[in-house]
Amino acid sequence: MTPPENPTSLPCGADLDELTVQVVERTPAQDPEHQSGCTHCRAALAELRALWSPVHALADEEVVAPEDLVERVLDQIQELDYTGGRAVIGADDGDTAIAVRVVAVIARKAADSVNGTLLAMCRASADVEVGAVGRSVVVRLELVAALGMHLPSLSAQIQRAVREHVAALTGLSVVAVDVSVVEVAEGINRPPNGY
Amino acid sequence: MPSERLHADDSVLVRWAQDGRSEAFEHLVRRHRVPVYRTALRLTGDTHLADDVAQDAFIAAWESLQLFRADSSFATWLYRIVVNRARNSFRGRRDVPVDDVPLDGFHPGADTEAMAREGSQRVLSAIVELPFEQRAPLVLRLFEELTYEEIAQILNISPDAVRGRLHRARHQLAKTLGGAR
Repeated sequence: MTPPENPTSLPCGADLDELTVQVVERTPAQDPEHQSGCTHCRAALAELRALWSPVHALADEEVVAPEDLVERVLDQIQELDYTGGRAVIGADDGDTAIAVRVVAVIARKAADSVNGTLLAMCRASADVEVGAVGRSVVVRLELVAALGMHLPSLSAQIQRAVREHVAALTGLSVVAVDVSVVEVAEGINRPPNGY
Repeated sequence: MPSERLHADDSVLVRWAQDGRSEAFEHLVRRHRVPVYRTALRLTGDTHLADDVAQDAFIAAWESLQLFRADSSFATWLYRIVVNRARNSFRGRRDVPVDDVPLDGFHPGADTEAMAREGSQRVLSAIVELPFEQRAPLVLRLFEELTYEEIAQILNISPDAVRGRLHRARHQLAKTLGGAR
């Protein structure tokens, strides 16, 4: 009987795939005592180590990033920030730029003012890609709601509050307010704080 | 230039960067520039392309930072962007075999020494010849030493699928390297 062309195990029973993974990924032997005394395993390991040593040599080489990579990234970010990090309201007598973090603060406080919101974590971004001359804003809110609240109603109240407050205080157009209720918790429902 | 010795966790820097503080993002770029560039280099086999991929990945990270959720680490999220950018860099473009890259045309400060070595070139060529679906897990496992679970998260596949792809990649690479011995 001839042995199979691509045996998956050695005559000693050791799995050739497992030995390969051990060598390639340089992980500890699963059966070190057997391997150290087994001629089949030792021969297979020697062959595998010779085969994969150039890969290991490459993996051990130090790679240095181009020196100016960081500077190029920062330069490009500054350029983007000029238009993308803020919303802009154009007017005949000059533009008004409002940083998105300002919008985020206003939206967070507006959401906090809604009864049933325990914690609002807000991220806002000027919708420069689709917004008209950079005055469109998308707001996304994550919140922990008070247990027992009707969540769709709470979400609708928050969306309304955020739209109204951001529009009233900034003049920007809030094109979407996405609300994610990430948790519910016991809490004291607070009256609106009159924000 | 901010100190590289800043000890703030990635999560803290990400939060600051999400609030629009680009200096926090600068720290993140400095901290992750080597693994990002190294991954791009091993995936593309080309220093110029790797430079572009790394730069694009950081810019994409900044642009979509508001979408980053803490359900994965920042590093894992960044690896996902690099892998996607590297995959896209090959679309509609003829792959440049590593052997065809002129040795005197490398970017200053890049991995020139490694690329000049014949053994490294041969291995890199063999890796770049792998289908991308095999190449990506292999690079993340062998060069970045990520766990199967981390690779699964980055590639949005199951850990079992990672094992399968790694198995095929090892098999293919062994055939190529074995034939050249």
